[in-house]
Amino acid sequence: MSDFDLLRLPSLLDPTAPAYKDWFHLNLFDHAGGGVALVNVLLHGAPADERARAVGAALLHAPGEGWCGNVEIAGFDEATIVPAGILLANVAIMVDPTGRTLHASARLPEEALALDLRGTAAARPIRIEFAEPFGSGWIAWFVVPQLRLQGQLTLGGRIFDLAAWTAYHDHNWGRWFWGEDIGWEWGAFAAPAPGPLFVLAQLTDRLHRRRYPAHLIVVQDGQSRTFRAGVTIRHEGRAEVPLRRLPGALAALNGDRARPALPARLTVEAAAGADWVRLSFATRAAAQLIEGEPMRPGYAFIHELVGGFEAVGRVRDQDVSATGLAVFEYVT
Amino acid sequence: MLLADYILGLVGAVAVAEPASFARLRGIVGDRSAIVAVDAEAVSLRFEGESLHATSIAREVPAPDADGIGATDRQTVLDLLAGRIEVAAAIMDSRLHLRGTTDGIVRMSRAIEILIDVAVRVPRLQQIARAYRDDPAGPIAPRRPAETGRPAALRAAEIAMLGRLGLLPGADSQGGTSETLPDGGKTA
Repeated sequence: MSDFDLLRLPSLLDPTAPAYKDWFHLNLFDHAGGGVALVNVLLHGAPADERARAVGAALLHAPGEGWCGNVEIAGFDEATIVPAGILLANVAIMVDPTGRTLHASARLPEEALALDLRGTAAARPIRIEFAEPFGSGWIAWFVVPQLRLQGQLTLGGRIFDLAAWTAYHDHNWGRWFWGEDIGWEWGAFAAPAPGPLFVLAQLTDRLHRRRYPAHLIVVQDGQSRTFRAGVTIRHEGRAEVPLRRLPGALAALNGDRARPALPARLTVEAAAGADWVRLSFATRAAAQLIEGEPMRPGYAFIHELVGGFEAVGRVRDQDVSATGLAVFEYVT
Repeated sequence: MLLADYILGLVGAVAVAEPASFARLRGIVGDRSAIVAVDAEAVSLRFEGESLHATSIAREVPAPDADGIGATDRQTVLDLLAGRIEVAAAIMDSRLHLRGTTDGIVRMSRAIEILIDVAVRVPRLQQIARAYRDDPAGPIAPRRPAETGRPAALRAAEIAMLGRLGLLPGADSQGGTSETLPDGGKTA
């Protein structure tokens, strides 16, 4: 059985294909240097429709240097789409045919950023395959919470050995249109190996006033524990950080979104039986990825907040207290 | 390709792919005129009926009157497309100049917003934008100095007013770059 997942391309007869979304997501954490990287590849729209787009993003936030990286947008016919991968000219993620290794690469010479990595699962995958209602459609989820990495990242003239970094991967797919009354809050909070990793997820409406139950997954020693109830998320303050907004044309179009109200701090609490976790996250920097719906007018704003976290708690009678790096995603 | 060809191509593609958006754009522009300048290339734009007329302006000829004028350089356009600079910051850094009546500037900006919005759904517009970005003939202008020759007092007053209105970069930004509009189907 594969450690990773396949894309869920709709059939030609699927009447919901215009709302199709499919998304491989990878986060990398440099605990020694404080850097956080994001590599995403996604598909939106009916594959047979020329408007459908494949999008790749590779971004790195390095302390003291800010964001580098960019977004690439192409038609499906300009991308290589295989059952377990999306390969664009500059950004790609693919699982090899054995299902044991995930490959990711990015080549952004204008940003002086390059990346080549191979990742293998360091924890058991988590399948959350039931389709949760989401906007006019649904969303489903598959998570490989911890990966062991090989490879390197190059920034300017510096080369980083990724073997010392930790990583998180997930796959989202479903049917919805960007611009609908949807949003989410999601986060991956990674301690240096062999420490724990925490994954937070909550679906919301666009204004984050209507909130669906939040989930918190705690992964340690390759095992996961999911809190499905009793999870609370509290935001504090307003992050006053420079915002990198991409793609540039859509940033220009959505000038009124240049100063979103993003939380400066976040507190997550979860308790179930004897298990409990309290986690605090502080925002250091943020990027805004603007998703334009190719099938009809509409936009969504995916804010990637990076920073540090601190957690205390006990799960399965084990101490899961940790500090580390995190990405918190706030979507409006 | 000339700047005029890119602009005609963009607007022509809107007319073909989203006639309703083209009608909205045509209504916003009305009988107003615009000049778009990128580096040494300038184009005068005006609709006649449903056709956009784009006329290159020779350097030695005085520019005609226009309701809105947008001037920038290719490097700024590329930086905007790459998300390396925001529109408001480009204006504040004097890398993007918008001149004209308030109504003329607002309508020119709205027309550009329609072009960008339609581009999300129309691959042809994305192809034209990519062709512009990758155009080897397009000169990469050196970055301009941040300050212009405008009197410092005037600039300080502008900055103070923008600050009061919350319009400074990092506080908020406005959409708006250059060009204007099509002939009913002519594409580059």
